Amino acid sequence: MELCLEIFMEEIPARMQRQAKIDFLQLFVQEFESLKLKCSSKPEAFIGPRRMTLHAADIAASSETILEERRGPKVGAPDAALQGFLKSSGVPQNELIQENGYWFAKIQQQGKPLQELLPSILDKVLRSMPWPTSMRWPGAEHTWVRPIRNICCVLDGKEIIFDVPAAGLKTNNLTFGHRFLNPQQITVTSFAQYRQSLNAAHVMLDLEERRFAIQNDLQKICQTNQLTFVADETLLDEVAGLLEYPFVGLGKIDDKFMHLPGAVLSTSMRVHQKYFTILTNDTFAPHFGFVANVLINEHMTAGYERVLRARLSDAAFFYDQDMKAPLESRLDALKNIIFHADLGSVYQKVQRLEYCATDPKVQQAAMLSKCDLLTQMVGEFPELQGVMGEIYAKAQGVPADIAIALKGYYQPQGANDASPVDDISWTLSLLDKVDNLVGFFGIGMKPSGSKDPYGLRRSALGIIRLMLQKNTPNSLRNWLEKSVQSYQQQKVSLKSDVIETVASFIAERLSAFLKAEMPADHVHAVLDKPLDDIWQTVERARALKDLLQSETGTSLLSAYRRVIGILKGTQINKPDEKFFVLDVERALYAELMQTMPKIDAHLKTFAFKEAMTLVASLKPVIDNFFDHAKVMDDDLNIQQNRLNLLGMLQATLNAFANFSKLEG
Amino acid sequence: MNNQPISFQEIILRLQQYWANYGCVILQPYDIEVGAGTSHPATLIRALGPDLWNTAYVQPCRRPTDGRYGENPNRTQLYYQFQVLLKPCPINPQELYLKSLKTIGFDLNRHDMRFVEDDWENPSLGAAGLGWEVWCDGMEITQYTYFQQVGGIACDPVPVELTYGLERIATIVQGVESHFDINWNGKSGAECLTYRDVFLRSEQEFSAYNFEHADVEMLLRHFSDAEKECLSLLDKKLILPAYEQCLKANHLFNMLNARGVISVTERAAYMARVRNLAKSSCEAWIG
Repeated sequence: MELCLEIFMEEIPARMQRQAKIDFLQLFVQEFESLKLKCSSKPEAFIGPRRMTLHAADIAASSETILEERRGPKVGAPDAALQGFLKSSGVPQNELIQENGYWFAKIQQQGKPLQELLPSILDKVLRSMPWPTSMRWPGAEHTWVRPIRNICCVLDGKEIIFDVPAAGLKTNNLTFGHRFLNPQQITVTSFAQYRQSLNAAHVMLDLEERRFAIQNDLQKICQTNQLTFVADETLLDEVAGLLEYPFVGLGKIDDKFMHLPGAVLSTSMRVHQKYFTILTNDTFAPHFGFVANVLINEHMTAGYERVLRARLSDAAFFYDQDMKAPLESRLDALKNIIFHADLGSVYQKVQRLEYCATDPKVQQAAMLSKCDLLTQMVGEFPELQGVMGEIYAKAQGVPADIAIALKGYYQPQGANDASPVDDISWTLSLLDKVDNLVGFFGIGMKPSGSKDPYGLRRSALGIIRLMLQKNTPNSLRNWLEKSVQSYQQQKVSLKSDVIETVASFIAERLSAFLKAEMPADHVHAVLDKPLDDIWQTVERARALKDLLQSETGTSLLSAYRRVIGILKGTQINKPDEKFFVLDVERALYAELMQTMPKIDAHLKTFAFKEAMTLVASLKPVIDNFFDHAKVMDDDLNIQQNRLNLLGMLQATLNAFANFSKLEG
Repeated sequence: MNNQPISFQEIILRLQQYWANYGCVILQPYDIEVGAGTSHPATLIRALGPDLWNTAYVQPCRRPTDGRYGENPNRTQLYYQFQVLLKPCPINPQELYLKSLKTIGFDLNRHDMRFVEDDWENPSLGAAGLGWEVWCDGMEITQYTYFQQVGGIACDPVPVELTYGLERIATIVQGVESHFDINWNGKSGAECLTYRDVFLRSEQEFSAYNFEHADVEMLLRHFSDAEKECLSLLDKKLILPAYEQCLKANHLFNMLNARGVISVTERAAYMARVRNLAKSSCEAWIG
């Protein structure tokens, strides 16, 4: 049978639509599966601002009959138990079977017609939908993202009517066209007809369909006007969720605003107005692209231009005002902005950053780093923090490398953002994050559960990414100590164990970070000591992973296990050459004597790959030893000496990573 | 289309008539300074409780920091909202709203109307709702909210609140660029009075007052007085008068803010004090 079901409602927030479509479909599929309703072709779902649709092209007319063999009481159990079982299973006593000393009932659950099952299926879906936010409204028993106004349910062309208390409605076979262009009611007879009628009534059913149309039409209109459209994926998605049928248009930006920085233009347009920025010869064109829900006319375009003009007038006013005073002149006013009640003002934070920076250029960047927070532009568009710092600094003659750092030090933002490559930004970014962690941990404000109001997890991850980006050894503790000193300098009292707690917090984040690319035991093997050098730890972990992926590595590991098993708590000393009796033990000893200092040297120069190769090269002598020597020799001197040799081998391997943490 | 666009006052009159026909109690503005039509007790207080309550009214809103001495086309320290509260929320609030726009001259097929997600939350009042900003050709003209709770108390039944930005709507209806160009009385030529004629001087003087001349000591004193009075009235179970003192305190705080004399730390503390007054008033109203 063909099922076409539409939830018709008030506007679904655009940001939620993509996920909602997935969840909606999945909930139905789950219900179908648990009720044994076979679908010969995969059901599909569609979403738009005012409707979600489920289409199951080929669903069974009824659920499958289920045969269940249910175990009852033991044969010979008290009669009450048996009577209870008869009642609950609904099977008469003469139909019970005996098997392995138990009573069994064969229960046949008759399949039910789909039509009868639909009310409970829909009810379940409506009550299980995981909306990010949902609301109550009069008449509905359950919450939903916005009020539901109609539910259409058509099975093989037939209207299926039932009550839906969750939404306070009764189903029907109706839907409605575009809110403004074709608001009339449409009777649904099949999915194909539903989709076609809606399309004729200016409703594009699917998000992807609308998105594609928008992108395509914007590209075309730009081409026609010799402009370049740069697809903004996030904005395309959002706009596609805001309209039922897209009409694209091109608006003009007044020349008098074209002197504004690109970031200001694009923030005003994209973020606030949901307009698309357009380029000409790689710079901002004095045009914007917009998408309307109805046919575009001159009035509308004029309206769109007017709104942007108002926004940009404000922006231009802020820009001109801000430019009148040098960034540096705002420093003093940072005293009025509280960083945290127990950690002082933002001004104090800036001073700490300056204290920790050794390079005068980093110091100057630190001094300017928060000044743009007090500009009117950032007050109005907080997302431009840093961006405006760079723009104003450059325009006011601050050296370019320092100006760049005012924006650069906000990177990396989030897990996928790049770290800054220039030294000033890099250092300032690290100092800023270290100051956050040391300060907040120092006053006991640790993140807990999902609560991380100061973004400390992000700061820790940022530090990890910065360290990896540099690709050189670097002591985390040196930075932490310096930061603690900067707080002491200001007489801010911090907990005495702050360095340890911050280091172990970063170690936790590092552990999570590494576990994304290798098995957990590898991570434990390299993180077994208090964390200091992040880059080294990661390099070591990656080399270990390479080693253990090779055959040599796995057999080395089993040899190591054997060693551990044999040694088990034995007192170990240096092996004594005079007690060697076999060539294989002499060979192993000689190899270890030769290799240990080399591994050590490689570890000291951070050549982990080379160290790993050396570790792997031990395999033949180890194998030979185990093949020919019996450790537990009857002569106790020889025995102890062999144990000592194995102790030496263990130490060699452990210098590389803690092998005892590895699992087979 | 007729040559004479619908005037500012005509927009108000038609909206009032439209919602009166629906069955709303047409109220007059609250007579003390508020920052939004929501603060009028007819909305904030009456949103609570089970009784049927449909109302509509104009509310002048004061936002001292938004003053621009009359030099910005769209920002003023005083502007008008048209506020509607329907409790319980009917089954077709969006249709009712859009129809109201038609009565003030909107041709909905010639404008691009959108409902863009915008949830409303005022943690200080323990108030929250879900809804949209209504956009017309890219401009926000209305705030549309399904109240879910006020004063930490769940709204039952759920009301819907519509807050029309009258100046913005008028600029669209009349096709003018600036709030100050809005034709207020619908006359032409010498008889025409614009928003500029009515309010420009007021904007200039009040901007100067708000930003430069308001007596800070006096504002601080009045703030403490209002706070004290509010708390004492709450003790006496005189909730509406208490709430009014809370609104006064709030406006005084906004004035202090505009004078730039409140540091960031102090700001949080002042807000918490106003919050406490508002929340206590809501709780007392229900309790």
